[in-house]
Amino acid sequence: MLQIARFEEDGEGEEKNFGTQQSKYHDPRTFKMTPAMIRARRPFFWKNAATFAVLSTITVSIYAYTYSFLGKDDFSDVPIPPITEEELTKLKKEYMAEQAANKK
Amino acid sequence: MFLAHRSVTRSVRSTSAVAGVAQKRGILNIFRNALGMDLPPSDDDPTPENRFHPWDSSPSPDLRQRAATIRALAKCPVTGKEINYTCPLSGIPTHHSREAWEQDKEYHETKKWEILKKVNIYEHDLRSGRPFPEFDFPQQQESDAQVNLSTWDLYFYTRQYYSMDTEFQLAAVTKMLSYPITMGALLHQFSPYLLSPKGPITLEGLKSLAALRYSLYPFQRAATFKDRPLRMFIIGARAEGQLPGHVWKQFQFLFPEIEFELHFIGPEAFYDREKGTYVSSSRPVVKRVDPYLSMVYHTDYFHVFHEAQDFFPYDPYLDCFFLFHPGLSYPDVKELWKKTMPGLLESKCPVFITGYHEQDSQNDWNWLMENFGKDLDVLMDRTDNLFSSTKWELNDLDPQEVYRFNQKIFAVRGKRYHAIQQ
Repeated sequence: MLQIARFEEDGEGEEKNFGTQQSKYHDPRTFKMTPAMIRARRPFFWKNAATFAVLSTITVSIYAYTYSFLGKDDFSDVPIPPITEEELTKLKKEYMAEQAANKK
Repeated sequence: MFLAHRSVTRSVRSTSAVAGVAQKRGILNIFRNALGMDLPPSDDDPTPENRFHPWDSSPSPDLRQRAATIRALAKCPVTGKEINYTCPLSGIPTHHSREAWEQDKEYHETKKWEILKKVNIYEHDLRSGRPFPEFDFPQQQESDAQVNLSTWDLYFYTRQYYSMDTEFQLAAVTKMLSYPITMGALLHQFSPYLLSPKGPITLEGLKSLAALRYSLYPFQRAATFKDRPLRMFIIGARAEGQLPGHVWKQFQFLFPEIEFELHFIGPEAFYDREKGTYVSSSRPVVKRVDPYLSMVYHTDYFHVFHEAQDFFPYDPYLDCFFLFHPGLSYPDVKELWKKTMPGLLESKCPVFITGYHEQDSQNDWNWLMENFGKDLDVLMDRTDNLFSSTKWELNDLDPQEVYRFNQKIFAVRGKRYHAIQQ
């Protein structure tokens, strides 16, 4: 207990609050980066942007390739079960009746 | 009674008016807040406009005094007569008359007035009495945090200084920190100065820096025996000696758990604030900042101590010399430097020399090469110091001579003769 009290007195407790403290380099109100932080990050901006472009190109191209590959799939070889004329007319009648009911 | 009543109602009315204005501003701020807009700048914030005053009519008496000094001592660069005209662009007395000012083509083409204006506004900002939260320096960094020494901005960001958003804050802080961080950036293992041809460091320079880094990073070597503290000698100390301990501590923070002794040497090394004069003492004055850093003031010329063997033995692994704008070739001091320089070269320790501006550094270099060229190795070619002060200054004797502290840097060392197998 005594030790804890001493720890806080030293002011070390304030320093080590594990990232809960508001960063000095963000506006406390708008959370925008301060000009000092923008200046510090400027040397890395283009390299970071290039890395982002490379990584996003890889991801987007994998998605695009998958989409186009699956879109080309041909289902014509899948057999469709045969249907008789009678059943067809019966189904048509049911369908028309449903439509009429819906219109009312 | 009646009077008291009236005054009370008046005061009530005036406070309600103030409250009304404050409320209006408050509502506006809520909108600004919701939209994430920036607040209007407060009147305290420094801007080039609100810090600009001609020095002749400056609100600060010491700047009016400096303007008078310029008028009394400096000469117009066009007519050669006394200075009698204040440049309206920079607010600093620069020429004899308006005609001379207009004729000075170089002054306008090179936009020298822009730099002079910066001198003007920075000086006024320091005397403005605004709050200076940027002087609240950070403490020890966490052991896994790395410092980037590429530029001032990155250094401040990686050390988590106060966010310095304007040039005024940078000027105020870099003028102080230029001395310790210039030293730190040279010696640090991730120094921004690279080996030639990519940077200014020569092969001999790398040998000397490697020796110092051997002592600065004992955790990386197999045997970690405890040596004496590293000694940083600052020869011809003037302003450096007056910097408080917590500023120099920023140098030590770059090398955690390494002990340093800073030796300030020179007749102007120790300034007594209470008495307001330079104090000379037959014994070194020691100020201990904390267990890792102590500052020792020696109030005489270096060659005096060198001849008395006070600092013996020198060790290139543990000792290093810094000369902050020594002005080696100035007529009134060059005889003294001629006595000091052999001692520095004999020690075989690196000697880093900074200059106020290109010409100043070039003069130092030429003087050194002329007088001691045979006895020295160049460790670092003349280059821009990445940690120079960003605050522009001017010479009162020639207002167009503008400079920044530690703007240029180079390094030499006494020549070493290696054993040759016969």
